[in-house]
Amino acid sequence: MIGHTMFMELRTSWKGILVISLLVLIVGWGMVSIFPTFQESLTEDLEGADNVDLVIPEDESGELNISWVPVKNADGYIVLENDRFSFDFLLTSKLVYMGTSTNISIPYNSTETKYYAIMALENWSVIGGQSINVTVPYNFTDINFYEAMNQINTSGMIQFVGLDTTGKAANLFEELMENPGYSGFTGGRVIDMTEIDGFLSLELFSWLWILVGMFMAYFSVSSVTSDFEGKRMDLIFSTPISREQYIIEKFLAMTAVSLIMIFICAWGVISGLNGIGEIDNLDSGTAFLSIFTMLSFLMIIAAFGIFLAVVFRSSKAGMGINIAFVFGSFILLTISGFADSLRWLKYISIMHYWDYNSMLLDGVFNTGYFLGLLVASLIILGLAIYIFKKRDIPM
Amino acid sequence: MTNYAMKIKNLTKKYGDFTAVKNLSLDIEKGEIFGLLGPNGAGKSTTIRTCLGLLSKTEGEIEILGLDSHKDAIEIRKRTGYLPGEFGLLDGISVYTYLKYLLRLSSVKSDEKLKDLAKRLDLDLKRKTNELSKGNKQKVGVVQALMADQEFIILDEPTGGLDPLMQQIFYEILREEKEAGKTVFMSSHVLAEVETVCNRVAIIKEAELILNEHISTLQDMTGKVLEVEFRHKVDPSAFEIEGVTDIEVDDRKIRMTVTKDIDQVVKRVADHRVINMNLSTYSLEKLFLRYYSNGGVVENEKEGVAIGGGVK
Repeated sequence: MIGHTMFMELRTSWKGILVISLLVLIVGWGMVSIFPTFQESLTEDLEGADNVDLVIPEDESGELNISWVPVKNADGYIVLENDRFSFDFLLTSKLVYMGTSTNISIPYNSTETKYYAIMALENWSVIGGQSINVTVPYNFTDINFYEAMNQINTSGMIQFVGLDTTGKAANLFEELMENPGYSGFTGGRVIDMTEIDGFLSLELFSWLWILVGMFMAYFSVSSVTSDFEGKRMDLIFSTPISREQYIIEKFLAMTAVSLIMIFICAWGVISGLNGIGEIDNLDSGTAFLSIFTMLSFLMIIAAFGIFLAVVFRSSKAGMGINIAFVFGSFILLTISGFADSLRWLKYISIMHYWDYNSMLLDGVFNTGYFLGLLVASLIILGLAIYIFKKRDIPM
Repeated sequence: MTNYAMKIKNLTKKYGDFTAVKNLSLDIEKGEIFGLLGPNGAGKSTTIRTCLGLLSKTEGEIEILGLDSHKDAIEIRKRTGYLPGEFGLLDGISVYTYLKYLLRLSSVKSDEKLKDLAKRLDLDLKRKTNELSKGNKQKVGVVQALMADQEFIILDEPTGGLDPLMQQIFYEILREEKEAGKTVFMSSHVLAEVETVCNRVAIIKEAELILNEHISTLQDMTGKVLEVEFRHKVDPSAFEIEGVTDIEVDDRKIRMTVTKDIDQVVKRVADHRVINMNLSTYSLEKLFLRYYSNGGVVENEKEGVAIGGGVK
């Protein structure tokens, strides 16, 4: 007798389960597969950086020394400075040097990351060189820059030598980690996104809750309210099934769906890891257990959903509150990173107890948090059973 | 071993200030088909659903098959089939899959009776549950109430949505169940239906039980209608004897209700020259109307089913 109701729940919801499974598979496999491209973009050298040698002074008040490989036939260079590397580099840059030297020293500010582009001018001496010195102002706009370029181009050529930066591209992500919006998720950790585990932590796990959490918030509530709203309770409870068994079987169906999602996500991630050859850096056991930490997080959403369903008996009310519960947890976790005085907020967010980072980054399964959530969900489930047993089943 | 399938004693069910069932007492003997008659909203479904533990009772005691309705709810449901007055089916699966699921919940392995009932009621088990018409859905309900072959069957408005032919088949099935020793407790707002299949009836009105009798007693009680057309006008006082009521005079016709020995009446009729005479069984209709007045009847007449809507 046990299991039929659970099985029926799964059977009648197979379409939804299939869709979420596919999504989880695509996301798990896809995110891992993107990693090499992402990694490359992080560690990639800036264009022509080999031609440029940037010497950053050790003390903050020192000067930045830039030297570059001379270009044949070039008889002058310009150096442009920008605080970011962007598509409109030429237009928004500041001219910091123009002349014949291939080695310059300029003021250095250690708190800012600057990008420097070096360009060689060919045959500019034909028009005397001095004309450029005169017509290009130190801080030029796009208009007078083009004017200057025109002057150069009337007789000479402009050639790109190289680009380099005082910062390191990876530092950008370290700065990101210090962003309060993120530190809630990382628990103050500095996560290296150039490694597969760090990448997955931030690019997969930190938002996977939207997919699986929201699905569970909806699914758990509707598993019970649809029986109320579809007037199926009378038929179910004309059979010798007890109310506690009914609730437990619904919960077991949610557990089964959670396990399906976990296994499929793990399958996607592990086959992705194999595909990109990162399996040595993140073994399949660790990957699986990291994803498995999701179970008790989903269980508490399921238990709360069933609780809401027996209290409100309405899909709209139940789903609304359960989604708010999941989303609210996310917001609490985010806010908790904003300031030390708000740090405590994370302890009332269920998301804090979904500790995938310990497993993923340190290889330690956080059994305490995992079981804690599981016990909490069983308590909520017990409450749901108590209420369901006590109350009338409306017609 | 008790002789009662169900004993309800002083049952009261309140929703806040509203009393849905008031101090209702009812005994249903084993092996009978008991009809609970009443207009919509009288408290029939509430009574039934309270008996099955779907609703909690405010006061009173209910014993089903010798078991306490609250404490032994699971055991009772093992032995009781139930057709709700209103129900929905799980979508997207076949009728058979759904019925088989309910059968499994009742721990019944054999689907023989399920198939047999479906065949007799002309219900296609392969159809998807969400494609069913109202009548076919009702057939699913009827099949599920009877398929587990339980000893006590509770039916809440069982023929709603069934066409006359199917109703006949359904009554036939009910009689067979009775012959097999089952007890049936059914609610209805269709008088003719109750008269056709039940051997005992209770009438419930505005949450209260107002009558509980054997159909035959009721029929005896209500008697027969005798209509006589005489050649000449006859003094109706001649018929004012014991057991004759409701004497109506319409020119040369006299109509009266005879509840006792008809012999005396016939002898008095014979004193006059008779042109035509008609004796008919007084249907429960009048009785029903008498008990139903204010509200119930009007509503049922609107629906056009309660009075004379059944098929005989």
